[in-house]
Amino acid sequence: MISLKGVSKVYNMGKGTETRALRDVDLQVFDGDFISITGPSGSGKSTLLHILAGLDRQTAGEYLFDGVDMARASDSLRCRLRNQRIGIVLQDFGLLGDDTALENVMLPLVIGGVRGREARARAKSVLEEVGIGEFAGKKVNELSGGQRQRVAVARALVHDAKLLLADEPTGALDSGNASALMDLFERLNAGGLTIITVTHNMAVAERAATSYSIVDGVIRLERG
Amino acid sequence: MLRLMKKLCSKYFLREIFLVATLALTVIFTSIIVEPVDTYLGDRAQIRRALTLDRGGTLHFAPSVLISWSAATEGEYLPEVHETMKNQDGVEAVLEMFTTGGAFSELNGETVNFDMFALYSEDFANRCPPWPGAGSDTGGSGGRLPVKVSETAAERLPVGSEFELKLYNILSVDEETGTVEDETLSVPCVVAGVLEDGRALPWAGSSHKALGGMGYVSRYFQDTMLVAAVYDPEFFGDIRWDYPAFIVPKNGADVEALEKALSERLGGWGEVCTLDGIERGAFENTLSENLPEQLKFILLALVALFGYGAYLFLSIRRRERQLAVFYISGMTKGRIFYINLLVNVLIYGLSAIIDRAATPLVAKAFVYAEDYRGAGALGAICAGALFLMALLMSLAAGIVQNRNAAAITLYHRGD
Repeated sequence: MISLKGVSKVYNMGKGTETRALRDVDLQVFDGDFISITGPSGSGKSTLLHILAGLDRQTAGEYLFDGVDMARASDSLRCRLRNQRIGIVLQDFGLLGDDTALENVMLPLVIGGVRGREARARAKSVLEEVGIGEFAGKKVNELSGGQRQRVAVARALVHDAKLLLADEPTGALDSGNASALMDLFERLNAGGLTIITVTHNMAVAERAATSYSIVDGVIRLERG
Repeated sequence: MLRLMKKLCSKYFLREIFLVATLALTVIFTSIIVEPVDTYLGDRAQIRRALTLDRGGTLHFAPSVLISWSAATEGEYLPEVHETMKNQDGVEAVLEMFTTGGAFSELNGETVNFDMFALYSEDFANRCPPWPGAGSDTGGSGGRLPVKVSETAAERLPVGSEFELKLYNILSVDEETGTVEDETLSVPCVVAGVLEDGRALPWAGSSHKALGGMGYVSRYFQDTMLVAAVYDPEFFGDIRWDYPAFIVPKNGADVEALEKALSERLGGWGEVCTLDGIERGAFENTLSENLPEQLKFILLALVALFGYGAYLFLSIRRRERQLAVFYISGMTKGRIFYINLLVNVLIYGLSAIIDRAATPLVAKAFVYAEDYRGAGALGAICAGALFLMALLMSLAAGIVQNRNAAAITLYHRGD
């Protein structure tokens, strides 16, 4: 599914503030993998995740997603992949707080052009799948942290995404909710979803089948 | 697209339109309150364009209200006023003009001048032409006469064409019978030029400078004006020149000393001042009459702008977050740009429409308040309310926005 060869990312290239966020990263991810990437703050984990999501482009190297060269893909194609194939879950949830859980989950479908009634039905079904169907009509601002993160997961998966990218998904959750979220991830992974999560929480990393660490932009296989 | 636009702005749309519209109204009314300064600057520009005389070196004699009133109502004329000016040491010329509001004139059966009649002396016209180069080679030597005419009359009378102007000078009106006693004068003229559109005429008016305005040293007409050179100098020989005049000092004369000497000698009849002095006086009057109100409004508008700025800052941050969520959900940057553009066009467009509709209503409220000397208070209330609203909205938006961040921080601390 994912192939990274010699991927590097340099910020402010050629300037006095030049920063090497990633150095020659090689990574192969196959369908159904559950991978965790750990590392301290500023190690390059989030940069790697942004490149995998097509939110950013590498400075050097090659990144293929299902055979698509993401560095050369147009903004339109990368957006379509993000809309339909890649789901993203962020530490701060990345939700519209004044909208209901259902409206938030419907958003990728609306952007993808799915009609209102169908979008509503699909969003409701995914909310039930992640265990918060009863809160569909509640505003996100009224939900707990764990419930919000489930809404974010539902939004990431509503288009039948094949890849779930999670950036510190448990960062805003207490240990109980963090554990419940990882249970959900394991269940989704068992259903065939490929998951890559970056975290500095070792308890979360240990739940993944494969674990990498990243330090100063250099990635290393730790387990799996 | 529409559904996304609705999602993007429906929650805040009305609030933002209301804020923008109110802010625009505050700024509009501030600019209205500040208008006297604008009027002053406009007047000054007109004067500088019309009066080609040296502003620091030319004096203006403005008769007192009493002397002007006596001349207008009782026909009292004091030749010693002009004699005093002309005979003063250091005076090179006294530029006189005749003005009256009680005359109308006729050209080929068409009433051409009704509410104004002005005749510039030959010397006046040469030193400060009502129209650059007017009549320099037309042969007329009886003075220059701006004639307000229709556009068709102007086309019929090119430069150099001769015509006869009939002047009806109203002497008196019998209030009981309505009978008008007038004298009719036929004035042979030649067209010396056409006044530039929108150009002010130099005007030695009879208002006192303490009135504050500057309209009495130039006058602005929006009509087509022919500048006629009057042929016969004898014809106006018996015209009693008005009292107001421009006094041109001799080369090298001490203008300040001349102003002082003339002021002493003409003190009983009026006031003498340089053109620069008139400008300064008018500006000081404009400020002293309007400055407190203007400062109040400018400050309130600044406060309102500051409040709105704070709200806008948080609003943009909120919008950025919305757009970031759209982007990670798969919307292209192009679509995001156009949706954002459309939303802003809608907000500002609708605000402009609301402003257009609301301005007359608010103006009425201000005029009504002005009757009770409460326009300032009303303005203060409007701007204050806007500021408070913007401030409260900013606070609310800031609290909501930061709630998540605060929660995350607390979780990280394990509290």
